[in-house]
Amino acid sequence: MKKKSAFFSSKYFSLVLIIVILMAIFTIWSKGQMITPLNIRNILNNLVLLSFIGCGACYLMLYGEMDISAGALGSFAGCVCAYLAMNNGVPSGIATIIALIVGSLCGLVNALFINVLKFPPFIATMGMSYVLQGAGYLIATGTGINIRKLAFLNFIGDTKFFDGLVPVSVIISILFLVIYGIILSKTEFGRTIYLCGGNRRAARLCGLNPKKLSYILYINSGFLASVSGIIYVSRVKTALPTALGSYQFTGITAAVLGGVAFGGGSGNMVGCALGMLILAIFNTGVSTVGFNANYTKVFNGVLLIIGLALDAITARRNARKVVAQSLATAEKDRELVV
Amino acid sequence: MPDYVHLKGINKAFPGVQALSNIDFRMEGGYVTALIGENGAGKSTLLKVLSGEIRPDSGTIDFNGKLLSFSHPQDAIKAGISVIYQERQLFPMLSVMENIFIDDIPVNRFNLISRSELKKRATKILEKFGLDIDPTEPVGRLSVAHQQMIEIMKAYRRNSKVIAFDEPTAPLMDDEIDTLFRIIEELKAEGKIVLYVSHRMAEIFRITDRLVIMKDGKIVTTRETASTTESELVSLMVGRDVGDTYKNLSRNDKIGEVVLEVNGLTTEYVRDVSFKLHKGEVLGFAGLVGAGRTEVMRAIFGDDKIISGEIKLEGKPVHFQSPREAIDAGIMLCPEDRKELGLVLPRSISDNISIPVLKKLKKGLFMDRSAEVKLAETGVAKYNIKTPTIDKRTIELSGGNQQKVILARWTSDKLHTKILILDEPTKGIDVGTKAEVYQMVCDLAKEGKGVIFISSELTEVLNLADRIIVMHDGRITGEVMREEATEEKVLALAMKE
Repeated sequence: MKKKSAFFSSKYFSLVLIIVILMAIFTIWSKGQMITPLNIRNILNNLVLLSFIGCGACYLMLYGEMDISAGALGSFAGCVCAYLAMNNGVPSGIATIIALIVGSLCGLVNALFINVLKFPPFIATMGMSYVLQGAGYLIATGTGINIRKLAFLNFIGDTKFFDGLVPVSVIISILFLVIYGIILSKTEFGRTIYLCGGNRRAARLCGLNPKKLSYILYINSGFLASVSGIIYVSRVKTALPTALGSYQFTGITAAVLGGVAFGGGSGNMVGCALGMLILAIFNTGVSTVGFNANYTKVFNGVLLIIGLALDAITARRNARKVVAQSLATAEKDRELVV
Repeated sequence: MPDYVHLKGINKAFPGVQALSNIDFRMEGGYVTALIGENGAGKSTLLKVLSGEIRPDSGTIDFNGKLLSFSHPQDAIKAGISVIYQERQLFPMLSVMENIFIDDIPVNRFNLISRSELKKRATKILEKFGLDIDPTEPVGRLSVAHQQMIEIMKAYRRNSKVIAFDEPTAPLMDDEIDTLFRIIEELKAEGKIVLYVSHRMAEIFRITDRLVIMKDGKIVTTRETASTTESELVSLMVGRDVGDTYKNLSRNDKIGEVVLEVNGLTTEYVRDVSFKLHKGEVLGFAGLVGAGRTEVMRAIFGDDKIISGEIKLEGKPVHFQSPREAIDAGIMLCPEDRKELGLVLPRSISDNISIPVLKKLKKGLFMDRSAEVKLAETGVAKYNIKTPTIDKRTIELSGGNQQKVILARWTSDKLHTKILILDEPTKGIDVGTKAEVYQMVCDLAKEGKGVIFISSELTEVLNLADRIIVMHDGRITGEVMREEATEEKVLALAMKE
């Protein structure tokens, strides 16, 4: 009983409630189209691309920074993979591994700019984003690289389990979400992210190494973006330098909606995953009820702003609470002295 | 009749501390009034009340018969009160003339900035002050002393009747101080009310006419400078009776062998610092704010680069590259600024206690929650931290309890603490908790740990430490044993030029 009430007052409850309401609205609006098996699969597919970049964004935001290059980086990794496999005859499995390594190295370069040259993360990763998009055009041209013949990528993109309902990429995505969630909440490494994100100087004076963590997180963000990019290629069969567009912002939106505070230190993976689900449902719903796809961008922007507003409101409410409490304690101390 | 400012019955309380109580004194035009007192006496708070940054809980400011109340620093400026702080409030990228006229830039008939008029007016003021500065030079390129002059010119240009200086000479060289004093003399001759806050005895006697002596948020007395001697002033600043707090402490009387030896330590901030710390000893570090005490500790702890010098831990030379190495060797540091450097405020008590020992709280790949709970609960019980649960976020705790969380962190049995460095551990916490902290310090010494205790509250260091090292301007200026230590002696060393 007690547990139940804790759940109802928690942040998750409101997120689940939003999901239920969204599903209901879109179902009624689309006259049932929203909950056909095919559409559910669309929602899951939408979730897949978001989940990898979202995990990377969530970790970095908990640390108090962000990676604006994730979208371009993922697209670029997809292009690298396709380019190696199609134009140079590298076996697609190996091309995939090389692309993941290249993507992680781009993350490393981001980290070097930020930690060695002390660039603000926003600037460093934005610069990287332009460089990679340009590089993507150089190797894949505007029309992209068709990859229809590649065995490994076709397996990832096309295999489906449970009567063709659940694509293998969804399984991979859920696996990643679970693993990243467990790392965050249960391991020393996850704790380190929270502590360094909450107060970098204090964490360092307690013997942690925020700089090292920063390298790991940017490399991780590059790696996850690359996974996203490769899965995208495996599904649509074409590598495009703009494939993932500005997906990094969608990832950030998911994290913010899920309760990750700007500036770091608080939030968790369950919230993030629910945030991703909200966005996936929303984006699928918007196209199901027949809106032009461009509207999804507008709505994503609106959702980001709503998420930020909620973040600001909670922060202000907490600040007020803290002041009130500290005044109350001071009052008590004074009484004790008297 | 000259202008006057009369502060009447000013009170101001902050959480846990009465910063100002019943401050009442009068300043007159044509005189330089000195505001003096130890660190934490309430001088800065009083200046902030005067500049409109802080609203007093009660009391009034009577300015030539008019009662002033400020809701914004701009109000004070409009009323004719300028406070010149140590950290200058200038725009480094803008020119000298723009800075001087920052809130009153002359414009032409198109409402655009009139550079020629601006330059003309600025040149006039620069000439008046006798300074050879190009009015179009960006302020950021000027020397610290000249920047301060710009700040004064700004106040002068606003036609402020009251000009208050907060330790203006701290960053200045001798000849620059002369220039500053010449200008203060001129302001005085023009009948301005000048308030001068400083720690430096020589200056106080050279430039001021009247003394207002503060202590613990109260005014001790006001005097004429000419009829006061230096030693008289020191004893007025100190004069406080030691409460029972210290008499009731149960101290450690067995001081062991040397645990830490520092020889000729030099960093960017401190020069040639040497001292020894023994097992079971409480070694006090006294000095004024900015004397370099914190910087010495940061260097020992591996947080600042060491230029030269040697550190020996239990006889073996050590050179820590990071706080982690210092912690693993048994040196713990409770830093000066609890909120900025000590705690990860958005995280729980439990999370904060376990930070340095995360590696020892693992079960396989994962964190061992039950071991962590046990660690946190032991700490909460040992230090009497007042909280309903160990999961409470530290941002919600009072200052005293926050400090106890940090102490619990550094003394847990998972760490092999040999030396504990406490930097201003009692800053901003209430009297009751202070006494608890003192006893904890003594208990740590009894366990045979070496404790370094830094505090700007003299009474505290004098009564708690077995031996006191005094620093001034990045150097050690003396060492006193507790038996022979008096506030006068320590204060004299702390202000040694």
